[in-house]
Amino acid sequence: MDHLTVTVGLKSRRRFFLKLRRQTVIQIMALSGLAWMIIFNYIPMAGIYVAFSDYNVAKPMFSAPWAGFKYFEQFLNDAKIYEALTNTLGISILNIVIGFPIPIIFAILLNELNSVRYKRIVQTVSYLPHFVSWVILGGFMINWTSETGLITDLIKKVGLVPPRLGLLGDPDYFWGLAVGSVIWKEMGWNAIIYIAAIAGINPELFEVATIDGANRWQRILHITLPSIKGTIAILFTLTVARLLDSNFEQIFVLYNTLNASRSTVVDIYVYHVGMRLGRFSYATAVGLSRSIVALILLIISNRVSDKLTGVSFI
Amino acid sequence: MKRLLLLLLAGTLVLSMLPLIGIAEDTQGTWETDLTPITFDVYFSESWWYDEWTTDQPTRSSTYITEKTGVSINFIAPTGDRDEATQRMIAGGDVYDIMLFSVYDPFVKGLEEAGLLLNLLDLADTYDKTFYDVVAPSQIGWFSSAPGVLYSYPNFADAFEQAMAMPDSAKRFLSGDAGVGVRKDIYDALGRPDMTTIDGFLSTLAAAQELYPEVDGLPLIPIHLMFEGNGCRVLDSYLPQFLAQPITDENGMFDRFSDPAYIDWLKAFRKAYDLGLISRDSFTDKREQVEEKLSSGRYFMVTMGASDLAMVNNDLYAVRGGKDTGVWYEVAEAFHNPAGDAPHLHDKILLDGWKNLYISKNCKDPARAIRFLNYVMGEEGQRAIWFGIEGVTYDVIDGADVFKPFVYDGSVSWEELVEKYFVYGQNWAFWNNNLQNTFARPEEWRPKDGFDQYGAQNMYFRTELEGTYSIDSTLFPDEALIDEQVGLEWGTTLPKLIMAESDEAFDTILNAFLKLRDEMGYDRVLALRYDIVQANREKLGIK
Repeated sequence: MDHLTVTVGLKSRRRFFLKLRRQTVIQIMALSGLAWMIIFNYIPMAGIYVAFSDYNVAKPMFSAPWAGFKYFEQFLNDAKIYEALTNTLGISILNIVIGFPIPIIFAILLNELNSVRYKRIVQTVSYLPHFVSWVILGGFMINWTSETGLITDLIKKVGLVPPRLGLLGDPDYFWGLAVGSVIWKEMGWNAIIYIAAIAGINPELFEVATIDGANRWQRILHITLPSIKGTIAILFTLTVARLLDSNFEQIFVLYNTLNASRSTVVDIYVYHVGMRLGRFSYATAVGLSRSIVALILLIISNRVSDKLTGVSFI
Repeated sequence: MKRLLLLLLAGTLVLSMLPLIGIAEDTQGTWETDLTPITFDVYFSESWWYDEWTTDQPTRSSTYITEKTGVSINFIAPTGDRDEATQRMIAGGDVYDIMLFSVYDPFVKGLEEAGLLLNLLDLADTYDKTFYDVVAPSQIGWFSSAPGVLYSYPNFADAFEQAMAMPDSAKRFLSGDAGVGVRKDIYDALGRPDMTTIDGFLSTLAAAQELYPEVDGLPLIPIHLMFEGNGCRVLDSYLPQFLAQPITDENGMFDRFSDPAYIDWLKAFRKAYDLGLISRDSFTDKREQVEEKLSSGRYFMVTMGASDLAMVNNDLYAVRGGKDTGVWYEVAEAFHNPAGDAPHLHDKILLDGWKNLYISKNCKDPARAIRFLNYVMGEEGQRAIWFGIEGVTYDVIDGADVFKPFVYDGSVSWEELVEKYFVYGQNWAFWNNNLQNTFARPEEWRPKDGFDQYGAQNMYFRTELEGTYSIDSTLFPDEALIDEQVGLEWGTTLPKLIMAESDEAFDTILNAFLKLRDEMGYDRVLALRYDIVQANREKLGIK
């Protein structure tokens, strides 16, 4: 009996090495990927030490004295951080509720177009704004909403009264403006992955459904959507995990003192009281807390997705 | 002043007696002592640094200096993140011969603590005493980290006593933080009314708007203001200077809100907004939008620094033919206190300099290094760096150095000027303000807006404020944080004040802010500022 187990063990081990040898090239490729991850994603994690110490840029990181949870307490005790949190969550939730379905709807609508040429043109035009940086686009938006700007003129032409201080000067409009501009800029780009997923559906399914007398609406509901369910679930899980992130670049260029009460998101606040003052420990503490929340959200939304659609990636 | 003179006299006496004491006499020398070729590695602590000390062009000032002294420079700038690269360099102890850092750089302290820097006073006493002719006594005191210990060789730094003694013609490089400019055509058409009183200011803006409602089809903006995250520079920093506010009073740091004239002027801006004289774009525009408006002359009245305005005016001259139309900005008097005092514009003396030079422990030849710095920062080196080589970039006419016109009239591109000649302010690594400010500038170079004379006439020495504008967060983390948070609070309060419906509403908002400010502990910030000012005064010998 003992003898047998040893032989089997030896055999399987030999088989393992044989397999490894045959896959040398592939294994090297995989290992370099792994090494990359260890070097750039795992080793830098040691940097979270900064969050627990009184870090000074001029000195080596680990020579900084231990400060415990001082910086975590600092931001948790700061009343302003809660206003910033409200704004971050407000914008993020609107982005999910409104911004998330729109690329899906857009991709499905595009798929229903018969003219391939027209489809291509619409798709290309729709994702062009993605390539304009926020710095430039923010400048456009400031100009368009200024006293003599395009959008202000348009509102007047339609017969409405523009807000007294302009769209960007009125905090009530800020969340809408932030979410709207993201949708306008990223709709086409975000739709690409869904368009690809839809393209992967077996066309025979649609043919069979047509023969069975299913109309367009029924085909979308029963073939297209269920087929791209997995893609939607994964992207949704990732989006939810980014709930506490905000688009710093965008908010930074659109931020001004008039809309500050609605535009001060966590990133902006940390920039003001952390980075601008060189308080790296504070900024790292906020970043770390946010990552922990993101991890929790990721696990929860993955569970939910697993329960609802059977798609899980952990 | 008497005290300062006495100090100076005492300083010179001590210095003149040093040779009598006689320390290591045989090692003394100047750059001429040793002319064998040597190359120093010079670390410039910013990754954007691009300058090269080349000697392949015979017309270049760098070639001239290298040929003369035998010293060549190999500039090294960090690639990638400067903080990381510098930190690595210090941690490894592998420092370059000479390094350039700002005195505010946290790394200087690290270098000092690690014992990686050489005491320049020791070097000077041992190898080259011309150091004491090049670096002013007050600068030695200002930069010394302890008595007798000096690590930083001033670069782009003014010496207090030399700046004070500067003739008016040279003062324009130091003077006047800001001035008020008005569009010349409109101001002339209005009959150049008085804007120093609140009534005059408001009626002039209104009249300008009435007379010139539009600029190229867009509405004229009577006054240029820009509200940023922590306030508005014109109202927060310039207005108190125009109102001749003191820096300190018997209670310590002077609080600008305690001046009734300042409150009255802020209320005048509230009224101006009420009358439609302040564009709502002022609250949302960023720098790009403001610059666009400036370059098309859409503002009637602007308040800004002389060099910023010079750029705007150059643009208006060239692009819009402002010379003929009068669409450019000319200096004007505005914003006086009820007593009618002349403005107290803060000086632009740079006591701390920009990037000072440090000689490291690893320096391959400290004697040559200090002798070279004494040469290049001295009269002859500085002349070569500004004017270049005689007969190539400048001529001596009637005993005065005069640039050849091609240097400044634009007939040679900026790139070529750097590449072939390296003169006219292109060399930033070795710059002695005390000499450079006295060198002649071409008259053509001088802006015609009158800002420089105005600045020189109204300049007040405010050097003791150095180090108080933004509080060093590595030294005073708590005060720096309070200051930043109060600044953010003010940034959102100020627009509310300007847009307040009435003077009563204005008072309510302002009082609420002042109360909040006190609750946030702003007293500590003011107390710290006062301590810094007092320490500066002591260092500078100001009563």
